[in-house]
Amino acid sequence: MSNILTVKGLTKPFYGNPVLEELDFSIESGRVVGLMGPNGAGKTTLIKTIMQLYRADKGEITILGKEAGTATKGLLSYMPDTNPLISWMRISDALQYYGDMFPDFDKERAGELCESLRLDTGKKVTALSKGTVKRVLIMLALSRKAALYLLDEPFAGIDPLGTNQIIKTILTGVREDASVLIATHQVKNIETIVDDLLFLNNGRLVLSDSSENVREFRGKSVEECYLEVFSHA
Amino acid sequence: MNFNPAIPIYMQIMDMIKRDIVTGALARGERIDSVRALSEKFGVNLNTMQRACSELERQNVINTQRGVGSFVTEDAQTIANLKEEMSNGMISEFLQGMQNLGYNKQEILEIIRKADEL
Repeated sequence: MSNILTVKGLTKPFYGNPVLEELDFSIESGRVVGLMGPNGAGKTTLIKTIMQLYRADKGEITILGKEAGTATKGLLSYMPDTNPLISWMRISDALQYYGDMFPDFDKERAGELCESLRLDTGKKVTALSKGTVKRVLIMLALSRKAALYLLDEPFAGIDPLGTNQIIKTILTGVREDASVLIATHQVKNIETIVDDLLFLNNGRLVLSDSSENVREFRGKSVEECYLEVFSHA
Repeated sequence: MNFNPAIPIYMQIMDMIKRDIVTGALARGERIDSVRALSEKFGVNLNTMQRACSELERQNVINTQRGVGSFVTEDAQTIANLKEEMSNGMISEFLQGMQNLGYNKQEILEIIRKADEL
């Protein structure tokens, strides 16, 4: 299997404080990866650094063998944890905007996702509930034909029904050779859908393993493993 | 689908499929859904489902014909073995539980006989 993303020795300080320190990991093609850790662990910083929204001070990020930069931006589809949509837009405008912005945006796919996520495209984005905004952002992110989807806290503030819809969309909405990186501290939600785990604490990687290995060789659920790792961290 | 989160999920899926084969919910030689459809049905990701299917294939419980699909085995012996394996598992679990409650084998037999009379 080929690597979609390789990170080597990645370090990113803010005002002299290292937020990410010497991170080494890779993501293979076709995997769903859970990036987990408590608040302030560095999850969002890592995603933003991969997205080149932050510049790494040290280390390398390679995407499909190419050094991360302007040329690799098109390979990544990013769902931020804040609402980036412009306030005058309706959902239909957001669709148009994404379609103009990204050549790999699949309008047909977007239509299907709007239907399965029950999104009314005539609604203004400022009139949406928190959960609906998340569903819109998921829909927009997964409508692109990217190599790697970076989802930052897709379940924050979502009710169980919405969570299930989002999980189902992630499971069915991604091509087999693409990978998904989900940053979350809600471990239970993604227990059954992640292939690999990356546990991040204070900017360092404290565990990197497949979730089936955790279950098979440690006899633990991902959540138990999370609690074990982070209560001693 | 509810999984025990402390047991590998591919194994739990294998058990569910095996149970369906033993009970006849999946008939001998029946075509099973594609890995993608199954992963949707079980609510797990593609790799987990793929692993469950390749393990089942390795154990000759299902056969895959390239470009055609996957089918439940036609072999009656394999299915009989599955059934035995499953009943052995249930019995040893039951015996373990009863012994933990403090019953000896004689008493356990007596209890089963009584239950059967009801």
